[in-house]
Amino acid sequence: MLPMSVPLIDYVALSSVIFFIGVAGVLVRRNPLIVLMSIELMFNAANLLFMAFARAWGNNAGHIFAFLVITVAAAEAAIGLAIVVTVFRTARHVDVDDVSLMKG
Amino acid sequence: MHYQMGNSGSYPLLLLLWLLPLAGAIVIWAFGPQLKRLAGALGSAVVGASFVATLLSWHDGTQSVAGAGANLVGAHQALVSWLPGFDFGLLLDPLSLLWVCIITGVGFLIHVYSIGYMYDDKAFARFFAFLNFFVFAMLTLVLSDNFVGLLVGWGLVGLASYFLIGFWFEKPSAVAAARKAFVINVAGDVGIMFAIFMIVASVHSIAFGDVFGNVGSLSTPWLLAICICLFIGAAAKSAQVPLHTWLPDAMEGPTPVSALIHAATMVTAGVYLVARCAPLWSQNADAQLLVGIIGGITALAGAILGCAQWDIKRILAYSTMSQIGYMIMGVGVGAYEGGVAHFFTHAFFKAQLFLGSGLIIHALANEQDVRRMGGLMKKLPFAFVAMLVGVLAICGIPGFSGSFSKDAVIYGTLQHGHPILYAIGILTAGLTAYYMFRLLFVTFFGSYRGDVDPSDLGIRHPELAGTAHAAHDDHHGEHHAPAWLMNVPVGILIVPSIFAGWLLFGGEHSPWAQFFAQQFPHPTLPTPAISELTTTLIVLACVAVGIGVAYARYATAAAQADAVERLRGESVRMPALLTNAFYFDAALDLLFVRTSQLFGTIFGRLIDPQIIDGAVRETAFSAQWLGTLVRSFQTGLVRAYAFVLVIGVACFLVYYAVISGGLH
Amino acid sequence: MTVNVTSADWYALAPISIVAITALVVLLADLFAPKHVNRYLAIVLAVLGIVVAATDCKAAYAHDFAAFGGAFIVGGFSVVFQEIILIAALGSVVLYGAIGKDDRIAGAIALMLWSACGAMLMAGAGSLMTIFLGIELLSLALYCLCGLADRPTAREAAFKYLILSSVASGFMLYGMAMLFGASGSVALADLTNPVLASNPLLWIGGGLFLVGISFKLSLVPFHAWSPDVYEGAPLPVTAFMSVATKAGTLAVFARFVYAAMPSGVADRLLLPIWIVAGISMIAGNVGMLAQHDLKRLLAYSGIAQIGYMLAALAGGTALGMRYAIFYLAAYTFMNLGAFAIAALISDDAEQGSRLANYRGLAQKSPAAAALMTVFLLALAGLPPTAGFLGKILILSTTASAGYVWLGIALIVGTAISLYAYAKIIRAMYQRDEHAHTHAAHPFVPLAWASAIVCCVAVVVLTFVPPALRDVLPLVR
Repeated sequence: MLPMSVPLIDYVALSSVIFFIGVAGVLVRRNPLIVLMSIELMFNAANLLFMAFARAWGNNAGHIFAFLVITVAAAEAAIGLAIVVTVFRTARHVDVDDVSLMKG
Repeated sequence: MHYQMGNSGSYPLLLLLWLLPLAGAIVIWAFGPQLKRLAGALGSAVVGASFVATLLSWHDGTQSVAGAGANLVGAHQALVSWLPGFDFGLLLDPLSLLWVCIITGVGFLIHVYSIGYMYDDKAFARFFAFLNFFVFAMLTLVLSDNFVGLLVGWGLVGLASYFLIGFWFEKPSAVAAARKAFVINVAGDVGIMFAIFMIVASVHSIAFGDVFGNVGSLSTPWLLAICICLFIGAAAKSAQVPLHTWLPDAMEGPTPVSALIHAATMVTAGVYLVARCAPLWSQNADAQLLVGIIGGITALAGAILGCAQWDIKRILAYSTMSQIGYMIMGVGVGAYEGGVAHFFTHAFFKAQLFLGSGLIIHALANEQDVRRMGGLMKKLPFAFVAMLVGVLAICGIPGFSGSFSKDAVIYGTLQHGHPILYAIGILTAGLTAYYMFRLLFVTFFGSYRGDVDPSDLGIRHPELAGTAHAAHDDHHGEHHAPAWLMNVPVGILIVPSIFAGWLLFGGEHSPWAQFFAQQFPHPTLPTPAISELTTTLIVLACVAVGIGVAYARYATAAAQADAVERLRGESVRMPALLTNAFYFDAALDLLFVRTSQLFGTIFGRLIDPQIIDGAVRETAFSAQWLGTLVRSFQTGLVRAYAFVLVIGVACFLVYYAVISGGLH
Repeated sequence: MTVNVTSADWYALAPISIVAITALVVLLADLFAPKHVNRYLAIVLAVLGIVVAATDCKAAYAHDFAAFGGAFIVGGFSVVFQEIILIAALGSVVLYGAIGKDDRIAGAIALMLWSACGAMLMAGAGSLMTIFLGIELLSLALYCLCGLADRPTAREAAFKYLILSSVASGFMLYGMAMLFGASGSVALADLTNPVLASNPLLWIGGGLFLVGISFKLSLVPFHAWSPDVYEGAPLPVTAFMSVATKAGTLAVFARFVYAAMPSGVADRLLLPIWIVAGISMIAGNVGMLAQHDLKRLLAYSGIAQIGYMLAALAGGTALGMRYAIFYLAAYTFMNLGAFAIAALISDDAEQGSRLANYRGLAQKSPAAAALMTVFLLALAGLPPTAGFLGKILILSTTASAGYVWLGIALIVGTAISLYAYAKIIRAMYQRDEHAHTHAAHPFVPLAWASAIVCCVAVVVLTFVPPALRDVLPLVR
């Protein structure tokens, strides 16, 4: 195991704080772009956790996973932005709550 | 205990007798227009061949397995082998053999009769295709060796019945009757489905043998629940109170259909089910009591309502209901041989009564109201003889078939310790004698009243009373079918109507008891205070009173002289309770349709006024309110959905945190 | 840890590669082919590719092999799921061919095939990494597919699906990171280490992982997306999504239940899943009662149906797994069949999705009404369809595994659902004077063929058991 100057628990704490900021962002923000950013925040919190555990265990699987997540998140952001554009192209305001044609 | 049913092995004959009617149905359906009148002959021939095959497999069906104990009797043909416990096959044992004999034997006679009865119908071939399909479905029901096969047959006979009740679909009343019968029967199917679910959940098998063998492992409430679910199916199919209301309406179908499906075979499927599941019922006294009471109530209610009818087929329908009540009461209390015997004799004499009434209806150009008959003894002597034998049999006049089986049921209730049901049975016997002789006297005695104005007879709504007014001119003199086609089957039925009951003669040593020796449980019963002979005499006394009252009211010289006035008076003064058949229809309507409509309206208004739009209202069956309740959570807002999701996650996390915290 | 990758590893991926390459070929062919043949070309190529993949897939059936150091495991288990996913892809591609817009055919089919790749990857996934990759590949393609119709509801469906699914993925990913932290490995097999049973990371991480699974399976309360997305998405996409997503996720879940847990924790770790499965059976069926859109109704129905399948897995018996797969196969056919009927009475505006358009269907097209009746009976679980047999089998295993309450939930849910299905059947056989006929779409025979094949399969699965009886025991 590599020597760590910062204890593992701090990484876990930081990542969970970032994660919950992301969750809260999804719940309270009404701008779809910020919602997407909040989702990225959740993903990156997970990345941080992967990195921390990978360092703690001293293997590479976590690092590889993080790279994988970065790639997937990029693809997701690209598609997400495209969808946001198609949904709100004709709208004057950009508000998540306006998207509610279907219910019940 | 390993409870095997039937000799395993291959009985191609069984396959043949099962599939022949299906083949007939398909061929007639496909080539109906080409076959023309031959469709009737072909349809009858396949059922006849099926009957012959039944007789040929008689030996295998009743043979017991060498060296094995009780419950090992009959022939078995495997069809599809699934996983252990989920095999499909055919089973021919004494119980199913009895039903198969009636289905194919009586069915054959009714097929032949139908050739004459339906001779001028536009859809002659279609009729026989349906009829053959019905026979196939009914054979599936009784030959199946497992609950699922039974349920498939159960559903298919309901479908066939639906088609045949609504056969004259240009009549709105026929369509309505067909739909009513279908809905009630589907409710019954669902009951059986749930019984199967419960059986599978506890026994892990659908085979009769496995289920009956493991009945001891079921807890009492669970077994009671299974029995109740099964009986919901039985009650719906066999027109037991309160699910009986479809049967009188089902008389909208052609008379041969009433004879075959709604008298002889299909409506007795409930009796078959209870008898088949005797090992389940014998383990649960509450379930037995329930079935016995429902049977008794039905017997009595059917008889009372039978006294208030004027349509000849509706009288017979209520009498069918009443007689099936006897059977259900018999198999319910545990007098299986008696109940099944009453099915056997009833199949003959009721088929005969229906076919006899068909002769009358046919001769009078679709007239069904007995008030517009009268004096038909000279016009239709053969029909009179046929009806007379049937009436004597159903009333239980000694020597005729009905007397043996009915007494067996009535005495059986006493033997199994149900004196109240015993009394109901005797009372019903008297009522039966009254309304059947009423039918006989009003129809055949006195003078012909067909030319009397309907309103003079108290017929307020001729079109509703089964009175064929307009049809009179259209069809008269157009029947070209040879008379023997209809007379011969009726003539043949006279023989078993009189003699079938004699199989029961001799108590425990009778051929009947021998036949079913290995089929049913035989607990030792205390000897009741009233002997069998005394019972017979009491029943006879009641029957005599019934006949006497009927004679005094309808057959004395004075009564015949002013028949028109008397019938009018009786029609007008008929209590509303009876003319509305105890308001069962109205009650069911109120209970299911109205309440759910009310809920639908209230909740629809309260929760989401937009939901009850036109399209939904019309496609909706009725109760949407529960669904509306769920819909109201689905707001359509992404953030609300995400919020629900996060709440779910929080619940999960709390659980896991508690669990993992508790590990240390 | 070193992993030696040999050619055998790549062969294990062959079916997925074939499907992926087929998608590329479809796109390229569309680029160079003349306009009037592009529809035929896309359908023929896609069907060909799927059939080749399915044939190739079959070869691995009796030979278990852990490719890429256990990251992707082929064998009876993965093959059965992959075949089901391929069937779903085939059915939906055909439906898209039947009613899709000309200029989008190739793109839609390519996306559908890539999405199927993701689901197939999930079917064989043996490590957290492959699971994540599979789920995201499946979902990313589906986000695009959902928006592939010119109506606001479709765009809305894509948006809702994107946001909610990403959130759920975030939870799942965080759970995966915790599981990785607990075991120090991304392989599912390493989670069986008994030391982990007392590690809170396993419990919390496992819980978040199961949240992701529950979302993809659309279990109540993680179901909210599915009715809206199903309703908004184009009909063939809904058909695909309803089966492929469930099949892939069920495979992941089943592998997690059967091969990735320290002994003795299953009862407690999975209890929330069984509870939400029970709730889903009831709530899903209740939700069906007041719907007027077929796709939406089938979304609620799917919520309940997945509950039935999970009930079979409760207890973790080998028999339960087989029954769940049997029910999944039956569900695949009845669902695809129902969508095929909806497609064949639709034209561009997808009238087939509105339940009001089923009123009087029996007058206009008795065959379509009869087929639809079979599918609805199967969904309701009435004999003589595979749905009934499946339910019976599930009940037999659930109760014996000690989850009687799940069996009761199944029975109650079924009772409620009968009402909803009967409503549609009744409407179809009603006489309707206003029944208007829709312009028949030129490619409707494809939908007919699909519906008939599905109908035969739904009945045949009940009566010709050897196929499944001999197939399923090899599932491990």
